[in-house]
Formats: sequence, C-alpha cells, structure tokens
Amino acid sequence: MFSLANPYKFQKKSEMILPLCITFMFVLFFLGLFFCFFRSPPDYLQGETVRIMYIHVPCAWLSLMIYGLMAVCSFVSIIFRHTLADIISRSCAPVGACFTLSALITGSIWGKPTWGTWWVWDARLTSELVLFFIYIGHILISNAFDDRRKGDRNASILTLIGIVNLPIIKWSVDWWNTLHQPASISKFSSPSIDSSMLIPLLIMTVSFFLFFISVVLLRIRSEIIIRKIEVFKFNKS
Amino acid sequence: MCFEFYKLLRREMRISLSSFIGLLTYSTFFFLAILIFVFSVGSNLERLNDFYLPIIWVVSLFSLILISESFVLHDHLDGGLKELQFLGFSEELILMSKALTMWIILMIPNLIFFPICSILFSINLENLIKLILNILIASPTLILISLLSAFFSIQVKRNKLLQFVIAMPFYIPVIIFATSTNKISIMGGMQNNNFFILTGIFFITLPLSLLAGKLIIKETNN
Repeated sequence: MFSLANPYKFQKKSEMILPLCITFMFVLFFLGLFFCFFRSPPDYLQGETVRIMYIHVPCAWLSLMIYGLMAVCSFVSIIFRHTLADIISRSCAPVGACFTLSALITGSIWGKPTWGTWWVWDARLTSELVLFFIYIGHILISNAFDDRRKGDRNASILTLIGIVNLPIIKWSVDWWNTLHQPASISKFSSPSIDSSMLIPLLIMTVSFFLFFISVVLLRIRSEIIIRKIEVFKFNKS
Repeated sequence: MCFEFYKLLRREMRISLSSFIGLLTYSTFFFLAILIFVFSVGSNLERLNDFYLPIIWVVSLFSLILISESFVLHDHLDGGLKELQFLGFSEELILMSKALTMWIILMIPNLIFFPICSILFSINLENLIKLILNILIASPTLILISLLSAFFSIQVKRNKLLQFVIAMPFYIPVIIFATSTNKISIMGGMQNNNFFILTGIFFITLPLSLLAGKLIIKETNN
C-alpha cells in the first residue's frame, strides 16, 4: 500500500488499473441501464419517475464518499506532508463537486413530480448544498496560490474543517423532520427497498464508482505530469 | 498560559483601540447597511418588523467578514505573527486572543446599535433582549469562522472574494438557528432549544477552530 505512495510507482500501477476500470465501468453501466429500464418495476406511488433514483442515489453517495476520501488525504497531507495525498485531494474535488451538483439537480427533477416542487429548504437538501459550496471553496483555494503546494495545504485545512458537514448530511433526515425520506439502505438493518430495485441501484453505484476512479486516476496522472514539468522548468531556469 | 493569554489579549486590545478610525468605519458601515435595507424594503414599520431579523443578521455577517481581515492583515504584513510565534506564543492562544478582542471590540458598539435598530424596526423590548442574547451567543462562532477565513484570504493577493466563499457555507447553520430562535419566540414557542443548539455549535466550532487555526497560522508564517 505504502509503495503506491511513490508517484512513479503510482503512475505505473495506474496504467494497469485504468483500462480495467474503464472496461468494467462501461459493462456495468450498460448492464445497470438494462436492469433500470427493463427489469426494475415502476413504483406503486411514484410510477416511472422512481428511475431517477438510479442516478440520484449513486451521485449522492459518491458526493459524501469522495469528500471522506479527500478528508483522509488532507489528514495524511497535514501529518506526513505527502505530495500524492495533496494530488489525490486536488484531483477528487472537481469530480466530487460534479457528483454533488448532479445529486442536487437529479433530486430537484425527482422532487417536482413527487413533492410538487423543485426545491425545498429541507435539512438534507440544504446540507448537501453546503457540501457543494465547500467543494467549490476547496477548488478555489487550491488554485488561488501561485505555489501549488501552499494551495494544497490550505485546501487540506479547509477540507478538515468541512468534515463537520458529513454527519449532518448523513443524519439530517433523522435529526429533523424533513421532506426527504430517511435512508432505505442501512448497514445495521435489512434494506427497506425491494431486491428488484436494489440490484440495479447497486450495479449503477459500482459503475459510478468505477467512473470516479477512472476520472480521478486520469486527473492524478495529469497532475503528476504538470508537477514534473514545473520542476523541470524550475531546474532549467 | 493564562498570563501569556493576558499579554496577547492586552496587545490585541491596544492595537485595535489605537485604530479608532477602523472601529468608526465598522460602526458606520453597520448603520448605513441597515439604512440601505430599510430604504429598499420600504418605510412601512409593520413590514420592516417582519424583516428585521434577516436584515440585522446579514449586515452583522458582512461587517464581521469585512472587518476580520484587519485583525490579522497588519500582523501578517509587518511580521507580527512570525514574531509572536518566535517568542513562543502558541498559535491557539494567538487565535483566541484575536477572537476575544474582536468579540469585545465589535459587540460593544453593537449593544449600543441594537436599541437604535429596535426603534427603526419597531421591535419590542422582549424581542430586542432575545435578539441581543442571540447575537451574543452566536457571534463567537461567527467570529471564529471569519478569523479563519481571514487567515486563508490574507495569503492570497489576487482573490479577495475568496474569504466570503470560504466563510459563507459555515455561516449557514448558525444563521438558520439564530434567525429561527427569534421567529419561534415571536410565535410564542420554545426558543430555548435553539439557544442550546447555538451554544452547541459554538462548542463544536471552538476546538475545530483551534486546530485549524494552529495549522493555518503556521501555514501563513511559512
């Protein structure tokens, strides 16, 4: 695991992993779409609109998971001053922001037919919106400095402060009376969702996760190259 | 440690009180911004009474963000921060002394302004006391967030709006509970729960700010 922390070895390994990730992502994505449209039944209350769930839920899960990963990387970066942790955090932020925005938009589209409105100032929606702005803050601060390392370190501190928002998002539906439904899938109890809907949902989630891995690997590789060029230019001058 | 904190606090108070113009600017901004809102909403007192909470809170937030940079910028530019670190003062104490000074310096003028605002917005005495209590409880959290965002922003020369972008998301929970406290009390409900939540938010923010403050001050001095 620690051997991967070397950018050169990471590049080598990522070259092997990336094509596999992309292949499995496409396979699972099309399989997931097939299950979503042809194997999964419409909801008895919501009808066909329930199919937005197969996009909305993976996006929302990933928005939290990516932030969690960024927080771990920030922690490693602050404690061990490891460049790769900074690079991973920097690469994850725009992807996480996109997933958060997708979750908000798809949630809004789903909300119109089910709740009768595009948006409500509900605890879950508001805390997810706050997460989006924290992602934006991270992107802005990491790019605000001429020295990339300084930007990364400041962004790491911001990420660690922003981690307070994660439990709020997770448990907002339990702590407050919200229009947003509580979690249907929990680690500690049997899921309250039927297997005909659960299977496509899980397939789509894995597919989205592989998409995230692929994009982040590409971003990390390009970031390593950018830094190598910077070092080369610095040495040359 | 207490003596060190006292020394830092005395230093911060001296610096802040020496720049009387800065305080006057803050007070004038606060008052004028409220007047702008009054003129934009209209002179109807009943209508203004419905809007006084968001107006006062938004103006307080903006004035806190705008003034927070002045509490850290000079120390950063003249090397005062580095000097304090070199003298052995811990970063946590530096942040706490700045936060406490900011709270004392800014809240005292506010205590004078709020009764004046109560006349402008036709706020009754009971609601005014609740508003003041509310601001006194919620402002330490806001000040800590503002100071941290100021430490981020002083390192960046190009983008001054960055401080707003960093601070705003963290203000949202405070604003939600702070404004709803008075709304609930106006409707005759229990407001104590929200007071407790605001206090709770402060006790979550305090250790986090100390940790983040330590890191960011070190980063600023690097």
